[in-house]
Amino acid sequence: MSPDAPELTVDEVRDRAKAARLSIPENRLEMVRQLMANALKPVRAMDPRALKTLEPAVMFDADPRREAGHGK
Amino acid sequence: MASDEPCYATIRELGQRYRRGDLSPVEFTGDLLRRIERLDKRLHSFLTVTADRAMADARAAETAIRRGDANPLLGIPVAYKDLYATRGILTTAGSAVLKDWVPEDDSTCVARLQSAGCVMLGKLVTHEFAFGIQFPGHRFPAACNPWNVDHMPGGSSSGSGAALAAGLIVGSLGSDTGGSIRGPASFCGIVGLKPTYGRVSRAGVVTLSWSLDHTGPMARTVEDCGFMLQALAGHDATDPASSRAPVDDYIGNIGGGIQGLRIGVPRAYFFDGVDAEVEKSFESALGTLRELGATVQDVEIPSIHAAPAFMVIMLSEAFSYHERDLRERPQLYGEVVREKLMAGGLFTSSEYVQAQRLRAKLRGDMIAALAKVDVLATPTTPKTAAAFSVVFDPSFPFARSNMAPFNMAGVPALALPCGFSPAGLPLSLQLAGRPFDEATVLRAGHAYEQATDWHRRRPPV
Repeated sequence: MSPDAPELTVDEVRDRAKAARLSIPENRLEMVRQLMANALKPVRAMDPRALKTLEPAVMFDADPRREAGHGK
Repeated sequence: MASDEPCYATIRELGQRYRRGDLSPVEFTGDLLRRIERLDKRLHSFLTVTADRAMADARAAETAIRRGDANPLLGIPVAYKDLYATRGILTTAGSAVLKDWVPEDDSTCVARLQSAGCVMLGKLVTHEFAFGIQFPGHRFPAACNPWNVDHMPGGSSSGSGAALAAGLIVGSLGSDTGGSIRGPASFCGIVGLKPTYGRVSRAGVVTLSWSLDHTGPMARTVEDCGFMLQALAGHDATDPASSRAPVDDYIGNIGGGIQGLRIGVPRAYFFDGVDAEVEKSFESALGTLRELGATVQDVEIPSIHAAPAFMVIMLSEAFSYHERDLRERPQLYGEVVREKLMAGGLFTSSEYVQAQRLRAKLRGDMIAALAKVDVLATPTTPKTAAAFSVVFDPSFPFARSNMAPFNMAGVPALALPCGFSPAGLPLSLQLAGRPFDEATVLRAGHAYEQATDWHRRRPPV
């Protein structure tokens, strides 16, 4: 995704909820959209091809002497 | 200088008074139980008061003190966020899902504080599953901020913040996934420490997000947090993320001063949308730290704007934890909380993994910044505590967080009082350090605290 990737829409949230078989009331869809859109902004702005060697951080090295700045 | 009233005494002061014989743990515990009965009708910080247990703990502590036991936590009255399992005592996580859960074992943190001689006064209100505030009509009311009961005390460790500020307890345990220790500390004018990921056990604490959850102490002074951390820190085989890194002495050099300490201020992101009164008190705190001998410089964390990806990770993991209950008995979740948790089921697997990759980048950049300075300083929260009338609007958004980046990075972060707004609400300074360097963070916080009197102000309860 590029930095100018389109923001998540209410229709997309509705489609995702349907695919996940989750029932979200219509009057809460905009709240959910806002929550997800803010969270996804940096993810959608990221170009994963530019960060090929970057591995996901799930847990950290518990030994501070081995700190390398990346997750295990 | 001694604290003004016994209910606001520090751990060190209480230990001295117990051992001099001018206050007994039994007498003090009784005083606090009566204070809880008198004040908590209005504050709603407690879910369960364990009066009989407290008096039994206090009698045991008194006997140990008479025997000459020098443990600094002996006879110190505490209460635990209701997310922490307590053997034989109702533990609800603030939810209807767990409304009848009586654990068979203590969480590791509770076991460690109890074996150090703490007196358990009860269980404290938490936001539902450490996530959603209690809207009107919830099965129990939201805790109120003792500085202004029309305002929220922050969350999710809301009861902990309120009870400490009101002088109902001396110490507490909070949990912090994106700021749930430091937020209530900030809004209630108390001190909270989120230690390094892996430093304090999460075992027996109801999960919100495995890779972001931290446990830690909340108290009214930095030194009190240090005393508690000393008892809490250390490897726990029952927590898979628990570290074997050696435990430092957090108290021995806490008064060592900060001459020559290098403090970095990451200006980008952390000052977006910050209220003028918050920024003013923060800059004033930097001035105090300079006067104490620290050097202050701006630092860059190039990937800091990736911080909102925190929410992808947190919600995805929370949804994994809650999925069965959300699908099978959604009616047991509070309104709004339910839909926000369900949002975690709408992210794709790729979005979750990319968020974790951004997190690795942010962590790397933060560690690099911390190679140039000893601690980072930011305002803890961009604003003061919001009024309930504002947050009870379901569309009220999650505020941009100055705290979540440090959960993303897993580094220690301390929140401590640094002023008051013109409306009389507390303001807070956040100090973060290198992984497992809680000792430096506490030393810096203690130096600032000793040079100011914000922590001695009392709310109008």
